[in-house]
Amino acid sequence: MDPSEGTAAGGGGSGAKKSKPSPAPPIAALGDDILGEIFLRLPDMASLASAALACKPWYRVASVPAVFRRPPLVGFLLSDRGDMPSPYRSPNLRFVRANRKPNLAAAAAGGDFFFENLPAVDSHAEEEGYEWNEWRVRCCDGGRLLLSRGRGGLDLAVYDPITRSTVFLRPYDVVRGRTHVVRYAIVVDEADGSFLVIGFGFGFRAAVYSSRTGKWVHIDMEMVKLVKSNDKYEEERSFHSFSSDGMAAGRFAYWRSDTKKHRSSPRDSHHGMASLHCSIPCR
Amino acid sequence: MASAGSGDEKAAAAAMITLISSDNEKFEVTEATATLSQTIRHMIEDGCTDGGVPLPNVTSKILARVIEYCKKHATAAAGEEGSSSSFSDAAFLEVDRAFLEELEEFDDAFLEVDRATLFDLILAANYLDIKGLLNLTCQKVADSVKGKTPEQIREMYNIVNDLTPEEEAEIRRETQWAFE
Repeated sequence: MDPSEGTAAGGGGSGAKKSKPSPAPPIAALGDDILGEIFLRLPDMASLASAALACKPWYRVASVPAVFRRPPLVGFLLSDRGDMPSPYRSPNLRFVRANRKPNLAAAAAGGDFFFENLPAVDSHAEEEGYEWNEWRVRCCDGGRLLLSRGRGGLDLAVYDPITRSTVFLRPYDVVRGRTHVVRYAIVVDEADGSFLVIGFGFGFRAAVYSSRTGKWVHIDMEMVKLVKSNDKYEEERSFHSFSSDGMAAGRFAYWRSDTKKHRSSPRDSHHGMASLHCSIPCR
Repeated sequence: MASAGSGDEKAAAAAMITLISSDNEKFEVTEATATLSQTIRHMIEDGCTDGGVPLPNVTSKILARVIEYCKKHATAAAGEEGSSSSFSDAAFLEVDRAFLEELEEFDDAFLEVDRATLFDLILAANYLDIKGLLNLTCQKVADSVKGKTPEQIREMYNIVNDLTPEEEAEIRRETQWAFE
C-alpha cells in the first residue's frame, strides 16, 4: 500500500489514466467510513469474514457492530394465548427452528426455550386457570427474552436461552400502583451485550433499568415524546397506559396505545395509534 | 454540456448552476441535475452558488462522469414525480418498467470503468453526497469482493497482509460459523 493518493486528490485531471495495467489502486484512500459502506453491501457473512481476514484495517472496519451484523436467526418463539390478554395467563409456547445449518441447529438444540432452567417457585395460585408462577414472555431483543412472573408481573427475568444465563430484576419500588398494567420493553446493545429494561406503569410513570449500573432509575417524562394522532386525548384522559409491551427498533423503543380500542366518544372516529418514543441512551 | 436553453430565458437561466472542477473547468447544469447532490442542494438553499460552485476535491474528468449520472437520474426523478398524479394504469406501468430497465442499463454501462476511476467516483459521490451514485459504486466494489478468499481479495486490491498468524487464526475462529 503506497500512499500515492494521486487519484483521490485529483492531481490536475488526467495524469494517471491508462498508463499501467493496474498500478495498485489505493483502496485505503477511500477511508474507513466508505469501506464500511462497501462491507454493508456484501451479500453474506462469509464474504464479510473473508474481507476481515485481508488485513488489520479491514478487520477493524468489519468488526464495527453496524457492519458486522448479528449471527443469523436460530429460530423464533410462537406464542398463543388465545383470547386472554397478556400477561395474566401463560401462553402456549412453541419454538420454531429457522435454520438447518449444523452449528445453528446445535445452538438451537442446546437452548432452553421453555425456561426450564429458571427456578421454580411455590405456587400461590389464587384463581383457577391463572398460573401466576409461570414465566411469561413479555418481549425480546437481541436474543434476550424479558420474562415476567407473579400476579403483578413484577418479577422479571432477562434470559438468554442459548447460554441459559439469567438476570433477575424486581422493579417493586419504582413502578407502584396498578402494577399489572406495567408495559415493558427490552433494548439490547449488541456491541457489548448490555441491556436496558424500560417499564411504563399506569399514568405513564416510567422507569428504566440498566444492566451496566444494575439500577432502576425513574424516567423524567418531560424528556419523552408522546406522539398522538389526536390531542383531544390529553384532555379526555382516556388514555393512561399502553395496550401491550413495547419493542426496540433502532435507537428507540416503541409502544402502541389502545386509543383505537377504547374510544371515549363514539362520534369521533379516532384512528388512535399513538406511539411513544423515547430515545435510548445506549452509547 | 450543450445547455443552450432556447426560450424561457429567465426561468431557465435562474435554474442553471455552474460547477467548477479542481482543474478549473466549468460545467453548467440545471438545478434539477445539481440537486441530486445533497451538498450542492444545501449550498443552493443557503444561496451561495453565485459565481459558481467550486469543487476542489473533484477533477474535471470525474465531474463530467458524475454530471452524466446526475442528468440521467434527474430525468428519472422528474418522470416519477409527474407520474404519480396523472398515470396509474397498466399502460403506464409498462412504460415505467421500460424506463427503469433503460436506467439499469445506463448504470451498468456507467460502471464500466477502471478501478482508479471507480474509487474516484466513490470519493466524489461521498463528498457531493449523492446517495444513488454512492450506493451504485460501493455495490460494485462489494460485488468484486463477494465470494473471494482473503488471498484473492488481497491480490485484487494490492493489500499487504499485516495480520500475524495468531491474529489470523483468532479471526478465523471468531468467524468460523459464517463459513458453514
